[in-house]
Amino acid sequence: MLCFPLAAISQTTDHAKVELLSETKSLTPGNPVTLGLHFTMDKGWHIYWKNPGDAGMPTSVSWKLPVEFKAGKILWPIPQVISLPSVTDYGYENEVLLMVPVTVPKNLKPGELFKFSAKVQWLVCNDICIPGEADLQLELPVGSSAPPKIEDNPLFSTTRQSLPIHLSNDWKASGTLDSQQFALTFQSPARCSSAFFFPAMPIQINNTAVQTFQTTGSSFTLTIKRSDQLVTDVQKLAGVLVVKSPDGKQTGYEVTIPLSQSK
Amino acid sequence: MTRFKHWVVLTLGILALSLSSLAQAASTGAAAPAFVGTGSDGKTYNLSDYAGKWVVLEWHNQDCPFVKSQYAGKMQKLQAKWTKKGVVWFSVISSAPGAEGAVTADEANADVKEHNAHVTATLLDSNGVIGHAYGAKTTPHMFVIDPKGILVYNGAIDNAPREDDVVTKNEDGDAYVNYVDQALKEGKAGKSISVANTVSYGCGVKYSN
Repeated sequence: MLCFPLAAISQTTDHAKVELLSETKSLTPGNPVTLGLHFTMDKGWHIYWKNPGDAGMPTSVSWKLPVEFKAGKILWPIPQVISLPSVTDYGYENEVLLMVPVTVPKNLKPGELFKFSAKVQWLVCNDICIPGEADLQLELPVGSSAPPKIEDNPLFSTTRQSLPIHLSNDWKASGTLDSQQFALTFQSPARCSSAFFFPAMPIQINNTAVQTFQTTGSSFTLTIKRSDQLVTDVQKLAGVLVVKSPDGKQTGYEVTIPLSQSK
Repeated sequence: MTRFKHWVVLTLGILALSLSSLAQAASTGAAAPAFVGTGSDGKTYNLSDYAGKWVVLEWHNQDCPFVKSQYAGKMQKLQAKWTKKGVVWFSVISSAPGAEGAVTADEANADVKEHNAHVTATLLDSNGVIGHAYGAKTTPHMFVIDPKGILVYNGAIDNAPREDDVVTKNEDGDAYVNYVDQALKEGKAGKSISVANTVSYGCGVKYSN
């Protein structure tokens, strides 16, 4: 009997270890599988979000997949603010799972084995930076064509809870932009005790300037300084809005805020 | 009476100066922030002395992997090419004392010699005054100032963060662009700068505050 290697191959480089994992132990034809890049960093070291902020390099992956399998984009959990004197970055300290959904074709035979290869690149920093790279491989067998058994994979399910979600219809979001700042106004279904905005694109907001939060009833404003490299006004501001409810629960929302010019 | 008048003028002058430095930002299309720096050669360098010349500022940290990658040959060649044509090139080190990249004047000079860098001077900015004036975020971070003192480029050295060697395409398959080379070529030919702002890449500048 052949033993299928289920465990991912991992690689340890300076201050970071990365392994390629699968949420499920087998593939179900026609059902996407979620793979994950599991990073563990030495204490005090961090890797970067899709927008690294003032300095850094986004963590990236390129895939070599079997025919008809397609990898989606990295599902980025809510990042952390990494504050250094006059330089503000966005990333992950200590540990993070970067999940990637992969579509699985229908016509697969039970027992067939498929190989997934990931070339991962990152920058890991504390107050110095070290570029890292790993070539990882994972083999998964095709299980039966029956609907997949719900397998409890705590690392994956916990990470899913830290993914930003779409803003629901009971929210309202709009903003203005002038020569100095973005003023974002939100109306939320429930009270928020604090909020922070992570920009999806670089050189739009000033990452280091404090974001001013002001609340009036069920609406709040966030005033954010403009980047001095934003020469042409933008029509919208995309990113992740993270709010805290009075009981301390944190939620992240993917937002694209339409902007009008304020006088 | 005269003394009082002088005092009022002096106070207003100081107020105006501090307000302008608070408002100071390195925005392309506007005047490049003024600075006076101390070179690793012991000399003083005032930006206003270079009116009428093209000036390049290069934020530097010899221990940063991105800087090392550029100094595998590309950066020095670019410096040599343009300083020969009369461009003034300042390497600026804003690392706080004891932080990565912080060097003594002798160490800075040794670095230049070892790498055959062709810089007009290396400015030692350990208190970060010049860095903050320009909003330098990374090493490298590049600024190009035209002969009229206008900042015309702010951003990355090129579009290939991971390439040590000279390449025709970057890692995404796009044509390689050195933004400083391009800005100087265009500017000196009297053309407008096609790309004035890019996201600089590199290690964060290790400021003290």
